[in-house]
Amino acid sequence: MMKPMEYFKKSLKLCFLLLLCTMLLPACEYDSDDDNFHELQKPTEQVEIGVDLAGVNPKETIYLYENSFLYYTLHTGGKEVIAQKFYLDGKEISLAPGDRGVYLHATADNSIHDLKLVMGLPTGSGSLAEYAGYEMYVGEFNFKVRFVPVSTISLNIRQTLDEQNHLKLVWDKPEGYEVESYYVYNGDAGYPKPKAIITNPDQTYYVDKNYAYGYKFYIIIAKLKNGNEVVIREDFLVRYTNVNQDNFEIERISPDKFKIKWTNPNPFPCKYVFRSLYDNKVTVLEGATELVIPAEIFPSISYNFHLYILPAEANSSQYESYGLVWGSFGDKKVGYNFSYVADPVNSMLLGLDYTNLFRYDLSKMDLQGVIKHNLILHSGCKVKTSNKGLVAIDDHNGTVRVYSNNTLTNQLAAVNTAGFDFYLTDADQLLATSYDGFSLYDVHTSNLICSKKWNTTDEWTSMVKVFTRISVDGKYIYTVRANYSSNAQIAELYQLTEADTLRLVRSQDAVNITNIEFNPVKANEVVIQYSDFRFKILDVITGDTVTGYGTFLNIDALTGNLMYYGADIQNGQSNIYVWDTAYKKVLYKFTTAYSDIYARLYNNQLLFNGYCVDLSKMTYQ
Amino acid sequence: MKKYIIATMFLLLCLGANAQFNISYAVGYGGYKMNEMKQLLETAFNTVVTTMPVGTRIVDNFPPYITHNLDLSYKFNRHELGLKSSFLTTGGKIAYSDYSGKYVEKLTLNGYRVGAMYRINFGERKFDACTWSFFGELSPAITFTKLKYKATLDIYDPKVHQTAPDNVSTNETGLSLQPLVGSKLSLTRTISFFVSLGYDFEFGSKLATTNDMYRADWSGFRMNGGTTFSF
Repeated sequence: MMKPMEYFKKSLKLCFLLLLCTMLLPACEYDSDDDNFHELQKPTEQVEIGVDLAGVNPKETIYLYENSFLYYTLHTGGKEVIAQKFYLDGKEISLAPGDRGVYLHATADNSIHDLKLVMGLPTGSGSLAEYAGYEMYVGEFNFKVRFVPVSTISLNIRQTLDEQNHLKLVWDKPEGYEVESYYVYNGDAGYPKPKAIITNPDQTYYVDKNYAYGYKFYIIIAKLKNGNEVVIREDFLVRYTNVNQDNFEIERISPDKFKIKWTNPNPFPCKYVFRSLYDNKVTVLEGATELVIPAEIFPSISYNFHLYILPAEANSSQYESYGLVWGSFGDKKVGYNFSYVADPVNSMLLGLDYTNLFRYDLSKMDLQGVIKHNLILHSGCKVKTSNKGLVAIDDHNGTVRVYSNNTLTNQLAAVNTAGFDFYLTDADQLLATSYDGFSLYDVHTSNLICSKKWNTTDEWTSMVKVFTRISVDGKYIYTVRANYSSNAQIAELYQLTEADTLRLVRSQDAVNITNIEFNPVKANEVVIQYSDFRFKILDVITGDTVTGYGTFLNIDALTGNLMYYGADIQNGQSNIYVWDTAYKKVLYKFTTAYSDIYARLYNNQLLFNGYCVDLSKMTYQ
Repeated sequence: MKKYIIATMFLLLCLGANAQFNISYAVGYGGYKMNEMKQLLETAFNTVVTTMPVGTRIVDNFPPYITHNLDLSYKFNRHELGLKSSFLTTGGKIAYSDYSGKYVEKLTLNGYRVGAMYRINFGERKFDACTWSFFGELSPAITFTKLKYKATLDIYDPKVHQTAPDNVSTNETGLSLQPLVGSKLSLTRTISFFVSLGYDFEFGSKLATTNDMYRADWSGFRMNGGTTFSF
């Protein structure tokens, strides 16, 4: 048996050992030496890796747009890229292994930047390191790049002319950039066509011999050396002067022809193709700027044409691809007035409408002025003049106001004619007609000079047709009273004596007269129109006559020429003839599209249904 | 190797003791059911295998492993009553290695079983100075389980060592009941050797870090051999 003290010591020792062993127990926990080792062949192959930065030479400075996307192609011998990184000036750019482009966020600062591409390809060993991305073939490429601003560089394109006046575009070489070539495009903004490639970077101009007129859009592109698609571009719109209505001069030279002339304010060598839309005829003009063209018989309301302006060396058959001027014109229409009369002393044509008195010059029939007459008119109201410039207008009440001139500022007299016809003379008289006689007034005093009344019981008072005319000097008054139902007619010629009395000079029965007009130029001549398409010019003093055949229209108050429709008017022909003042020579023959018995001749200007034409210019037969 | 050294130390310690109470140490071999932990390892394997080289596999799947047992008991007549403690350990491992590096993902489970023990001896026979007897034993206990997770990647060139974040390791507590039968040979009054065989029924709870989906099930056979020092 052990002693208690010895027992205690042994037990204490035992407990210490037990505690020690217990603390060591975790060292006995589960463990395994099986690391599942695989024998693999270490990769030794070296591969060639290449990069294609969209065709540029990687050994030279590469031009890129600022803040642009750089596309590239990697040549890896069929191996998949498992890692790639771009570094711009040492700063990594986020990129996925499958990306084939990189966004380079950089501004153009005129400095050269370092661009580095590091890429990894798989070794194919299948090792743990390869799976973990630590074993790969690594390639590295270093580039020098320079960033180009997209829009701030200007080529400063200007427009000028070369020695032959061809369009010449001149621009500035972009400073600080190495240009490889210039590309010239033109056309419209949406579909520019390539025109030229200028491979000499010092040639900063382009001459376009194929431009003559019209809208044309140019694009000049400076392709930077080693920049692939990196370019400096500028657009330019050619400045030219429009050919408009003011550049055309159009006149009728025959009843069925016009002459059209034009001017081209642009300097570019050109030729013209005139295309008439009247008959679709196409005419090529080289070195000419006028053309005689067929047209509608007078009056023509509108005539349309296209005038193509082609470069001088262009193929004329391709005219439709060039700039053109669209034109439309017709015979001149002076207005829509209901009464016209010549004002010989002022060489004017006066036209009356409900509000105004229009004044046209009788050389070109251009409107010279408009006078508001302040009268109440109807469409039957008339304006009359004398060779001394007096103007008379009747209003809706039948009151005739006589003015000293066509400004209507000075009213001389006001005489009521009850709406019947009235005439002014160069003796400052106003003839007021009526069915039962006539009255002659002094326009300065409105006093009655003389009058004539037919017997109210006379069967003539109920006649249908009465007309009375007075000679331009106021000395002769011709009256015709006709009863058309009975064909009875009487014509009487009166002379105003020095005592302001009327002396019957001549009286005729059964004369079959349809109209009488005194010659506005020759005071003693009167033109008598008969119903059988015959008219007679009678000298009331000598009794001499000249007979014409047709329908008398009028005698030009400025030239004295006599105008009438030829006798063939009865056959539907509308041929106007103009005699000279001796009535011996036909000055003009002019055919109209239809007949108008109100056609008048003023200063050789034919006024026809509101249209006018200068017969003195009918030079083309 | 260190586990064998420790077992030998325990045996020598017991040989030097006196008899009154019994102190026993036994080294054993235990199997573990661990079905759910195997599922957990399989899930982990399926996750990593797609990114790992061909050949990556589970090299250990919670195999049977060495146990350590220490008993303290008081004997009166044929009955023994005392304390019983055991250290259990096993694990799972996913591994791959080659010339370029090594990948290891390991789940280690350690169990500390502490409980009571009741033993009844019978069939005693004497052979000269030795006594041969049999015993039956029943041990209820509490098992403290510790789960450890570790995943490492080592690349040799370039030298890389990476460790995966650990969101798996945790502790768990469970109950168990272990019946045993054995035979003991007493050489002297103080020194005995014994062997035993039995089964450990484990009633563990779920592991918190697996969203309470998996539990460590230590259930399995037990086979021990040891020595008893009586004083």
